[in-house]
Amino acid sequence: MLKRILFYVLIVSSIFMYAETLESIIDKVEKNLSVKNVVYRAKMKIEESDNTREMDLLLYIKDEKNVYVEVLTSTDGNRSRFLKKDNSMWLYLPSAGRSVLIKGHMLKEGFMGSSFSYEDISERRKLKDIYDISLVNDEKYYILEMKAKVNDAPYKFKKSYIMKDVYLPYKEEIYSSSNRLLKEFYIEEYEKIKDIYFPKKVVMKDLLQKKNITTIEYADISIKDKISENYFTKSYLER
Amino acid sequence: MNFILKIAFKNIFRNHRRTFLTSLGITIAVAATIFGKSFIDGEFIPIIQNISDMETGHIKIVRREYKEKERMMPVNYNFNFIELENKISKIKDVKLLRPRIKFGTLIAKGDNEADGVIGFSILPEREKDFVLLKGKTLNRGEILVSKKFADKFKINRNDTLVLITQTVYGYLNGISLLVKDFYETDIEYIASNIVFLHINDAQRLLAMDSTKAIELLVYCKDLGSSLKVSKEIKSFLSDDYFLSNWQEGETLLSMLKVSFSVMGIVFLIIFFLASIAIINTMVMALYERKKEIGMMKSLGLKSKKIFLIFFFETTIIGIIGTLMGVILGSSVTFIFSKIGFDYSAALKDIQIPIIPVIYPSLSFMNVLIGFILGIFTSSLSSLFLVKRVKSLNPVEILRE
Repeated sequence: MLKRILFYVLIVSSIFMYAETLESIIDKVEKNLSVKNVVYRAKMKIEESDNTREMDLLLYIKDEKNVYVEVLTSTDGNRSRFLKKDNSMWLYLPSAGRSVLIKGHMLKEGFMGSSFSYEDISERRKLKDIYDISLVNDEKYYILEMKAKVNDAPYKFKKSYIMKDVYLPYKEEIYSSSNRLLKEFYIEEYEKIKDIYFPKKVVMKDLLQKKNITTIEYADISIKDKISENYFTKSYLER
Repeated sequence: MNFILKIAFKNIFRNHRRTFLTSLGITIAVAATIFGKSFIDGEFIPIIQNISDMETGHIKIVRREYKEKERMMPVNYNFNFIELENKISKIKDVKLLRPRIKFGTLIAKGDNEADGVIGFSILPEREKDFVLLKGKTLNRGEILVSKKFADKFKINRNDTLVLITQTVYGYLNGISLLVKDFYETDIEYIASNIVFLHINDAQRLLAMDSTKAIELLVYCKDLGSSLKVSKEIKSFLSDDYFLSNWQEGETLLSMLKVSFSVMGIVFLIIFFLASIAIINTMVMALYERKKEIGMMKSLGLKSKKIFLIFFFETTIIGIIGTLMGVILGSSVTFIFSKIGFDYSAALKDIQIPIIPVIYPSLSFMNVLIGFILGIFTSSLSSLFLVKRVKSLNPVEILRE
């Protein structure tokens, strides 16, 4: 009898443990990927079939609703500045002397001409709010299969291969509604800062194009206690 | 011969009514021919010019990849047009080269985005004959929008408009341009969708260097020589490029070429009917003069000489009628070439780039065709008498 009770307890507890594992995996991944009050520089390299471009970026991230990105130097003449304030995204175009609200189909365009879309970099909703997530246990990775449950989800389906030791995706596969592989995202290097595993080198491959690979290497990462609100205003963007 | 000429000349004035009616017939036929041919030319010349101005050139060169995705107007399939120009301009029959960049863009005034439009960038000094831009100036830093578009979005002269689009590298870029003037067109598709800017501004906006264009349009001295010029260009053009000739492929112009042939047939019918009318008038006038022929024969005049009298008579009447026809046809055509025939109402819903007013095109060639028709057919009509003069028996005719 005792054996039977023990057996059921084990079964029930393992189910609860499994559920908690999925939750905790997602929480830990989101904690690593949504760092607050961070300032850093980034070198973005965009490789296409006929050209390779590089740009230096300066990024201020207060939280998911306050993001400022500035192109410091670029080989393609791009000098634009980007602001995410609440749910709006603005791009300042120095040659036009004005900023543009990024909306509609523009969200799908490449951020600064890279393989990352504006949607990729701006989406800050909780994964669970956008996707139905299931966990596929694997020896090496936690494989999260995410199916869109809201109409405005950036992608219909994606698969994330989470490294078990650091809770960062080693790779993400992004699919279309017809199950066609659209993009591949890799975190090739990371660094532990305080208690956060911070991606240091990420790669996005746009598989719909002959060759379109964007590599971002982060440097001078500095996590602050507080970042001034002034950076996240249209007047600073259009200064 | 002088005697024959004198009789022929006297015959013209002997029956004023007959001479007048006969030459009037020739006059009308010649005038109708000149006007008809000028109208047909006037109908097609602006269509050819408008479509070749807007779209096709006589020859159009683009990158092969661009051709496959032309509807999307991808700006990354550009090429160094200076290199190509250097080679093409050496070809004898080439008159003009027009490099262009067309791209999709957002247009904004102040903080408001107006609409998505097509940026149509040109090298203004090469577009002076472009019908839509005739009399307009377009400098660097300026933009030309249609009057309709300006009215719709309350755009005034000296306003600043901003174009926002993706560069060849994929990032968003913008440019501020000053509205100096407006162009006018009744074609809704063009008025609502096309804005003109300097090619250098487009290159800056799209992050291209100043040697790059998306398409190179080639114009030949003579429309008909474009196939020959195409062949010459193809001899040095690499496989990366796609060359289309207005006479080939699936361009609107090549499809219209069928209409040109149909109108050619229509003109031949007009020409044929006019000839029949002239010959008929002349022959009827001659056939009724059976007694006169009998009289001349009985007086001992030989058939050949009688024929010559009628030949000179018809030729002189032909010349008079033809000259009057040339004057009448040229005058009417000239007047309508200035006034034009307005088809705006009929063509209101047809969204092809043509100007809905047809101006008959008076040319030396059309006048010459009318002149030859008049002289040739009226002289020719006297040949119908050869057999009749020979076969007539003067005794029988005098008895009648």
